[in-house]
Amino acid sequence: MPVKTISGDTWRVGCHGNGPATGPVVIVRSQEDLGKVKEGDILVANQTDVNYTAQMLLAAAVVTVEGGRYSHAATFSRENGITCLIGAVGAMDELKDGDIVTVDTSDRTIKVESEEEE
Amino acid sequence: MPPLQTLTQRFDDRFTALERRLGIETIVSAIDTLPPGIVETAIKRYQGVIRGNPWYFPTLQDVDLEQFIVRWISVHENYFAVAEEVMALLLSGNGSLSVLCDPRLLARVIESETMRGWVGKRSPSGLDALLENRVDELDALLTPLGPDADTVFEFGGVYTGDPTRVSAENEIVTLFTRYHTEVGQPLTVDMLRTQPNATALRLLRGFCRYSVSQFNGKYDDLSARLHTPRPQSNDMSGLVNDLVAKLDNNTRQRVLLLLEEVKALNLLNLNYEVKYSFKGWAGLMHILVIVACSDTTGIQSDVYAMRARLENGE
Repeated sequence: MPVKTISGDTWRVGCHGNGPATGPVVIVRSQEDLGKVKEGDILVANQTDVNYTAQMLLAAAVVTVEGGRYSHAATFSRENGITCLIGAVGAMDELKDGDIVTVDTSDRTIKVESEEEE
Repeated sequence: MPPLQTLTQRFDDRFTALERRLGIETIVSAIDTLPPGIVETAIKRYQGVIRGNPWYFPTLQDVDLEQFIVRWISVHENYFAVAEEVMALLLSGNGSLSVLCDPRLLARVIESETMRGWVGKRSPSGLDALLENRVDELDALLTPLGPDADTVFEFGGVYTGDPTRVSAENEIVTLFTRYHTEVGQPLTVDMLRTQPNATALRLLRGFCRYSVSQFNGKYDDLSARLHTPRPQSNDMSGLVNDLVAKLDNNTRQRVLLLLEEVKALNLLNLNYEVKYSFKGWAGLMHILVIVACSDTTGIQSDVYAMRARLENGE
């Protein structure tokens, strides 16, 4: 059973991908954090730009707070079959590095399977 | 959309002419000897300036998309011309930014940035405004399709199955994959001098702001992924047409027209703006002038105050 499920009206747009993806969260607040992203991580950011390209390809899923169905993150994820949730308001605050989560685009949720201890 | 068909060629021609005039080695050497961190932080600093100033846009607001694209190209050709001027000055000063601290040059940059902003994200007549306007209308027209409206938006609003009309991110991966096959080693100035690789040049111009170190950083970051097969983009227009066919004839015609316009706006937003606007080389040249004036005046981002202080010789 997940520890908690983050979902609701604020999760505005679900972007299609390859189905649910599970992995550890990496919060990317600026380009300096991009080096933290490893293969299979769940990349969580306010938004992405071209500098995030390599890390998006490494990630099991991409979650962004800002953007819509035609944002850079949504479009690149769609082109490459990356699981992606856009408009995940609160994700940067509610998730932290190391939390194990499942991102599911079918019901537009992020299930926190286990939380990293503070 | 006719004006889009010549856009890439027009800017490629300008880049080629610039390289012929100044020399590719000279350009990349000038960029890679800029003060440390300036290329890496340029976009963030530029965004601070964009958000930290009022911009006095022309009052004309576009509705017709074709006219807007013509204007977008014209604005960015002027933006490119100002960037060329800045580059020539930078070279004349042996790379010192102080040569860019000039109130007349700053005035030109403010004017050029105002026009760029006019067709940009934050303008009432810019890309996002035009896109939102069309998406709102589509939202209403597609209501009868229920949940299938999402599919129409998702695949009908972007080009699918056309490898030349993809996001900037996708183009970067494609070009680096090609470079990896053709060359397979980090880029050096010497390689540009002796046998310039056409793919490397495209990457340097569009995505690395003529910085060889940026090029090699991106190449290194992507290297682990360049052997992995990536999904092919399938042409989804058949699926979209099947869904839109469920609408009445008038609505269908309007929806198809709006989707074509949304595609064109998305291509501008997600690809061309990255290469030719403030995030690219031309944008770097603009922010260098603002950085030089900021350093001299001690004013962080207020471009009008910078200009006034420089004009008054304070």
